[in-house]
This record gives sequence, structure tokens and C-alpha cells, in this order.
Amino acid sequence: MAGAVPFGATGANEGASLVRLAHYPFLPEVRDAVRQAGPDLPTLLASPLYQGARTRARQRIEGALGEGFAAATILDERTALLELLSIPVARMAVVLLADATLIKRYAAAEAARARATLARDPDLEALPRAAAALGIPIEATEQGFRLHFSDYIRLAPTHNPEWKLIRRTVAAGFLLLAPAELARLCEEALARRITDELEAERGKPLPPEAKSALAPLMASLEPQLEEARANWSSGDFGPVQPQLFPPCIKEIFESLKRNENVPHHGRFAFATFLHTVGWNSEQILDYLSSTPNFDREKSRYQIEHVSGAKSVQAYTPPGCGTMQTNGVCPLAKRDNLCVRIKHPLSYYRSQLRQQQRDQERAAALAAATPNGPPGPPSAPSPPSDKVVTR
Amino acid sequence: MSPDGPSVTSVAGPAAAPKPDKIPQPTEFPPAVAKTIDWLQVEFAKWYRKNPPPMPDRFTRREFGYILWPERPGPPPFLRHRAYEDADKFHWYLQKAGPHSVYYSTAYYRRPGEMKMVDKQWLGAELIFDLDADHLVEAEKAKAEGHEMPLAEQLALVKTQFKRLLDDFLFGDFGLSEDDVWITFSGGRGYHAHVTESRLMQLDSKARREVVDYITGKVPTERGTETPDLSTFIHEAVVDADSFQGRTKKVTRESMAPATAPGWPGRLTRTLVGELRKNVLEADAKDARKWLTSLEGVGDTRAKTFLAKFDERMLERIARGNIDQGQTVRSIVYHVLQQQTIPMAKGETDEPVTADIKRLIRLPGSLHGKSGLKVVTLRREQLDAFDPFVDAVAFPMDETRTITPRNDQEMTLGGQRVAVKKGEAAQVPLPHAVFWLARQGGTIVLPKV
Repeated sequence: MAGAVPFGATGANEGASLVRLAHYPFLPEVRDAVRQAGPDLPTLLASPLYQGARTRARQRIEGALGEGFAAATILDERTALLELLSIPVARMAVVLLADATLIKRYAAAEAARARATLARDPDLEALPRAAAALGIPIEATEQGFRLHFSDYIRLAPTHNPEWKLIRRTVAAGFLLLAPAELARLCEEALARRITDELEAERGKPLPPEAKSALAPLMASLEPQLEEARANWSSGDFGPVQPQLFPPCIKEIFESLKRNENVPHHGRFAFATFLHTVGWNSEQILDYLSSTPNFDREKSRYQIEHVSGAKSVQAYTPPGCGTMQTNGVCPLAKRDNLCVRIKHPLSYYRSQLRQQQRDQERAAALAAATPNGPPGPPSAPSPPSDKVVTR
Repeated sequence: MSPDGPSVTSVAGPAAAPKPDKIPQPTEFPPAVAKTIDWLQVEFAKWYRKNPPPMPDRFTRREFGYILWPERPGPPPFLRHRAYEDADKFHWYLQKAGPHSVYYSTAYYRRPGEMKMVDKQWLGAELIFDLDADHLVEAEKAKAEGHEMPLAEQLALVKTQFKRLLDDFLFGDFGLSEDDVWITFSGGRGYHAHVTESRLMQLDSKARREVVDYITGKVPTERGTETPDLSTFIHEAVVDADSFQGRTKKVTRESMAPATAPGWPGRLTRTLVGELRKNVLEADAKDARKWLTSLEGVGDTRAKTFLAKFDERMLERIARGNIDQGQTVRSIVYHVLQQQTIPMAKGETDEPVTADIKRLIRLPGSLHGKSGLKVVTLRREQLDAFDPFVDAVAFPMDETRTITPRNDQEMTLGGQRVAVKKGEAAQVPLPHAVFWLARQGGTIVLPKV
């Protein structure tokens, strides 16, 4: 492993190598290096010598629960080893916490950390080496990194307009990437790899000794996960309020009422949206029952399929880009909020927040006015005829 | 929903709205229709005996599906989730059932015969492009104006766009070789391209949607607006600084890629030059102005300024990518961009086939149940000369049948133009008989036994 050593590392050659590897734990040579220099699993999980690794593992997960974590300061072979050893500990803990969102967030945090390091690495070989390790077949040319467009669309965050393929010059199947762009694709590839690996691990039981050795760490992490879950808020939307739905969902319902043929993608978006904001299939069916030609049994089958009751997975509603590609987005009916969001759920979430702010303001106003409107000022009643309690 | 939407007050929901009366549907076909459907099925089965379709590659990994001939009014039966370990069983079924339409999955599965999609275990799928006459804005426009575009004309138009899809995008930008792309005439109203390149076969639905967006020219809009963001194609560069009374102003020039550049940037400049040549340089002044002002964002003043400067030399400069009439050119560029895209969906509501990784598609070598034409596999160099009404005719021209037409109709198949009158029994070539009867244009008259 020749080349510049970042972050002022010193030491013997193997030391330098381990120090280098500590920043890029996904490189294939890490496994052997750690196996050679590191302890066995019981020692890692219990010995006071490796307390540093366990503390860093907790930092990694706490970072994943919140805003991510920073790169460690690697001074020597010892800190490098602790950094590398913290990763298997963190991964075991994430698997034990058994939360799909946490897995995604953990993978994203690890990948973001790796990209930040890659972006600052003065070693010109670091980026192509990372790309190769992550299965991104690039070719370094004078104009930039050359990549096949299929790999680009496989990895690029194309929901972001900046990354649309049409913004690239695609010539004979290939396009060119700047170093920062390749680093971003590395981040995507790494996040996916970690997610896939941890999802696969979830099915395998951990040895009981390891489990009990991890117990103290778990005890400190579990309440934090609980708290973080409440903030992620993806699950709980409160009572369903149809008047706050985005224009696309309203439009589909109007089409259904007008007895127009709603294409498959529209019905899919509709059912998955209603399911995600908290209705069960019976409630969706009740909602649909005012539409003409309503066939309860047929609709039930379809809804239960997308909501996970009859199939393996529950589907989430498609984002705005997909809705537009599929022709489900009523382009002309988009409003000011639509242009700021990328997902129908974000629209609904944003509307809910706005409503809450309005209500708080109204409440504050009512409290401040001595002869305010009658009724409990702290809880102005929402338009109750539109609300379904879950 | 909207304020007048339904009020939902409890888990149980509102009292169910009264169901509108369904239009009573006949449960039986009239005997002549039933007899015609039987006849079509027998002809199809006979045809498959003589013409077993070649098996698609890795057919044991594919799902097969069929539309059968209907036994009663309503949607026809659709069989799917079939899998075959050997070709004989498949061909035996075709010869026995003579199905209306035969489909196979563009996807490969570990267990293609499983009833649930998740159990099939997806291994990869061809990347499919389906260009259909239904997607033609021109045909839709003609229909709205009250005159149906003849099918032959629609198919010719689809073919032009299909060739552009192949040459500009698949072989051009995407650098695919002819061996990577299967081309078929669908037997009905369009053409299919099946891309079998291994990297593309692994793409998920999201990545395929990005391919659709690329080919359909879906340019992102400027943040928070509806205006297309053309900054990818039109660059603004500071070329100088102007100082006036102590203030400095940037002097910028807008540029595009030269016409020789690859990908969308070069294609846009090429088309831009072509359009300007046709509509401005070679048009008379009045038409040129009319064309310019018809573009969004170009008013009379802009058009006038543009025309005053425009000549062959300016066109050459544009071909090299130098634009000095930024605003006007920008409007034309957007217009041109829309022209160069490939329509892949019907209006705004069709689902693009390309994004679907579990699609069933017509089997090459099978018969199309609405035309009796066959799905023909083509090479690129055969496409120009390909005439669906000659080259996709499946049934022999030298056999005839007697039919009772439901309308006056005429049709040229296999080079033979045949016209029939409503209600007048006529003896016609077998391909014409199948073509008309398959689209419910009459009934069969069978010889008395």
C-alpha cells in the first residue's frame, strides 16, 4: 500500500498500512489485517483493552440515530485497530436492535463518513481503489473517470435533478465523472452493500455469549433508539385528514368518483398512500365505497396485496418523480407546496405540520385574548367530520 | 379530498353509497359470433401445427402466458405463470389451444412457474422498448379532429420513431451493438426492441425509469418553477467585464455543444440547426416570423431582432455552438428538445413498459389475436424495407374463406387489395378473413356439410 499517508500518521510500514485501512474499512484487505492484529470475539466484547472499540461502536450507532458521525482521529496503529474493531461491534449491535430504519441509517452514516474521507484524501489512488472495492468499474482518463451508463443509473441518486442521466453526455454507452461525483457513487454503493449485508445478518442468530457480552451496550442504545424512532416519524401520521392530501391523491379519488378509468399506477399510488398514512384496508374500502362501480371484494384483494396483508412486503407510495414518469402526477394541478417536495407523503406531512402550527397559533391567540372564543383554548377542535381516529 | 368530498366519521365509514345500476351484459355470444370465434381458434391451432414458434433463449427460466378466445362476452380469459421444461409441451399446447395471444416474460426467474411473483425469484430481465401507434400524438390529434389515421400510416410513423430510438439512442448514445438488441414487429400496432445486454438486464425498475426519462427528454425544471432547466445544454460563460462609472458588469456569452458532439448536447445543436434552416433561413420572412413567435417566450420584438441578424454565417456559428441570441435560441432549443424525444407512453397516463421488470410480452413467431399477423423478428437493416402488411402476413394468401362483413371495409394484405360491402357475403383471401374477423368486423360463413 504505497502512496501518501493521510492525517499525519507515522510508524512502521504495517502500522502505516493499518492506519490507512482504518479510513476505508470496506477495502478487501481489511479482513486479513484485522484478523492478524485483532483479538478474538470474546476479548473484543469484554476486555478493558478494547473499551475504546466498544465506545467508538456506540458513537457510530448514536451518529446513525442522529446526524451521522465524524471520522475518527487515527494517530497510530493502536487507534487504527480500535477504529476498525469498532465496526464489527457496531454491526452486531445494529443487527440486535432489529430495526430496518436503523439499518438504513447506519449504512448511510457509514457511507457518508467514507465519502467525506475520500473527498479529503490527497492520495489520488484512494478514489479508484475504493471504486474498485465497491464494484464500480471505472476507467481513469485525462478527462475524468469513465463509467458505463448502466452503472451510473444503477447507483446515482437520480431522484435529485442534478443527477438525471439527461444532464450527462452519454457517448457510446459511457459518461465521465468528476472525482467528487465518483465519491458520491461510492457512497451509494457502500450504503447499499452495508444495508444488504446487515439485512442478511438479521436472519442469523448471534452466539449467546456474544449477546450477553453486548448487553451493557444494548442497554444504553435501546432507549436512544426508542427516542429516535419518535423523531423519524415516518410511521405515525396521527388521524387521517383527507382534506390535507396532496393534489395527486385527491385527483385520483376524483377520477374514481367520476367513474374514469384510473391506470394501475394511479390505483397503486392511491392505495399505498392511504395505507402508509394509517388506514387499514377496510377504511380505504369505506373511503372508496362512494365511487361508482365499486367492487368491494376485488378492491379488497388489491389493497391487501399492496398493504402487505396478502403479500410479503408492504409497498410504500411512489415519489413525485416516479408519479410523473408514470403519468399519475396531475402536472397542471400542482400547487406551491408541490414544487418544494419530492414525495406525496412529504406533502401530507408538511400540511400536517402547518395545521399544527396554525392550531398552536390560534390557541396562543385565544389564550391571550381574555374574551376569547368559548371552548378549551388549548385544543381547538379540528374539523371533526373529516377525521378518522386510527 | 376537496371540501365536497366524502365525510368520514368513524372507522365503520359512511353508509355505502347506492351502487349505480350496472348495464346488463349479455351472457352469451350470438351464434354467428360464437361460430366465428371457434373458427378463428381452429385456424390459429392449425397454423401453429405448421409453424411452431422458435423458443426464446433460456426459455425454461421464463414465464409464459396466454390470452384465450372468449367463450362469453366480457374480458377474455388470461392464463399465466406457465413454465416449460421442454419445447414440445409448449408447442403441443399451442396446437391444441390455438390461443388468441401468446406471451412470455422478459424476465428470467429461478422458478418461473410459481404463482406469486416474489416466489419466482427474479434473475434479470430484458430491457424493453415498446413503441405503439397508441402513443402517437399525431394519431390522437387526427382522431380528435374526426378523421382516423389509416393503420398503415400510423405504423409508418411509429417505424420512423422506432428507427430513431434504435439509431440515436440504443446504438448511438448507449453504444449497444446489433447483437444486444432484438427487434420485433408486434403483429399489431407497433414495434418492440428487446435489449439483452447483460449489464442492462440487471437494472432495477428505478434505473429503467431513468432510461425512459433520458429517451423521452425529461429535463428537470428549474427549482420551484415549471421552466425547464436547460443549463445542461446552454452554458453561460463570462467572457469579459464592462466597467461603467465605477460599476463592473459581467459580459457573458451563451454556448452550446458543437453539432458534432455526442449524446443529447450534440443532437440538440444538430436539430436546432436543421430547424432553423428549414423554418427561418429557407422560409420566407413572414413564415419565419410566424414560426418564431409561435414559440413560447418569443415575442414580436425578439423575433424581429433575431431575424435582422440571422443568416447562413450565424447558422454556422450556432452549429459550432456559439449562440449570441441567448433568449430566443433558448426558446427554440426547448421546442427542439420536445421534438427529438421518443413517445413511450400513451399520453400522460400510460405506464411505460420499459420500467416494468416483470412484464409479459408477445412471443416472436406467435400470432396476434387482433390481426392474425405474426410477431416478426427483424434485423436493423431489414427494418427500412419491412412492410407489416406483406412481411407479417401469416396465413396463406392462396386460400380463401367466405365472410359476412359487418361494415364496408378495404384492406391490402400480401399485396392484394380487397374491398367488401356491409352484409354482403364475400369470398376473400384467408389473411383478410382472419384480419377482419379477429377485430369483430364480421362473421364466418362455413360451407354446409
